[in-house]
Amino acid sequence: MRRFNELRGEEVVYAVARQDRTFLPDAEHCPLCPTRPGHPPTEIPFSSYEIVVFDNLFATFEAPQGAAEVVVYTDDHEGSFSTLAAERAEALMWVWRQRYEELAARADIDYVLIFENRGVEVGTTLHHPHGQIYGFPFLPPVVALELAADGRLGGCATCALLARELADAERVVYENECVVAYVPFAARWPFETHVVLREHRASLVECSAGELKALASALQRLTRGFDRVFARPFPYVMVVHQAPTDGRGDGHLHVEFYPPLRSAEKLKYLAGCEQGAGTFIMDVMPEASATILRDVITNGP
Amino acid sequence: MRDAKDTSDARRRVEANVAIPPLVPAFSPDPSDPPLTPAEGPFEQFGPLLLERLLKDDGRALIRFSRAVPADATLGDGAER
Repeated sequence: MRRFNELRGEEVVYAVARQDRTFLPDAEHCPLCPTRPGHPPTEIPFSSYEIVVFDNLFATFEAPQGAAEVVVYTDDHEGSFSTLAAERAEALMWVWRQRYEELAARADIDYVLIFENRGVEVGTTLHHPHGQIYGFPFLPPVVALELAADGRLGGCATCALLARELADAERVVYENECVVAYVPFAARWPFETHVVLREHRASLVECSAGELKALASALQRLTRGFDRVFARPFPYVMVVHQAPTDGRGDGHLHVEFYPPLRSAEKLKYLAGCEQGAGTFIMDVMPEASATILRDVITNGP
Repeated sequence: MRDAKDTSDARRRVEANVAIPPLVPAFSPDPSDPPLTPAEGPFEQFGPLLLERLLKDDGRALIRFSRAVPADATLGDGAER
């Protein structure tokens, strides 16, 4: 169920059943672990698996008005996206692509949001390595802002910003043959990082196999770097940005990370100015964050 | 003063989050639930992956993605391990 907030000009989604969703269970009660002989079934009825996607029991959106899916990266309860084997991370890119393609074909879905909340600091409720996919029955405001930026800059805003970051070079933290990662010029989070395809690809569907492999590699290099910044698991929100699926706009595939840590123990909060005025105040310059990140990525595994 | 306060608040927040005791999960399926049924044929190919589609007893869809046929896959006509 959703209501339109007139003052903000945006939709608010009410999914009250989620109030009772599974909350930080221990490994013995993890619903994303394999179902093991002699134990009660989990959400996944296999004794082992590689990657599984299923409809979220505590759905934010449901057919015929959207979708909410859980993407489980591994049957190993421990670890994270960064610790997956390289071929598993590459396979995950294909899974994302398949889900985007299938959900995009549905008439009730205008936008496919692929994301991961890592860490209790950003609200994860299950520790097992996983992400989520929402099929939005409307165009969410962040995507509308990206389309507006395209209009304002007279073309693909992400292409223009990528060119600027490559020219500046100061905030670039990692590059490979297909992908560039940088802390954006006007980052809103201490270690906000954008991982961008060099070529204009509207979505994962347009990527070559080589680009998917390069994207997986870049994402893993970055997230491994994150964990080295403060020598601790680094919480983040990871969001895949792609073209809307309602046919109303283009897009440029990129992955944005919003990490809330500004030091090993200090969190960036969305407080009065951010929530009341919509203006982010930053304690760290993007160039300083980029220097740190580039160092840990360059010198890390 | 500001740093001290922020550090304290941040630490409390992090510790509070970490220290939350695990609860019995809300998801607790009945072991006597009927088995899952294949939604369609045993496998589809997508890029380098095999897809195995199932429907849970409550109607929710589940897809297993694998690089090779899993040893315990639900096989249908024509499928090979």
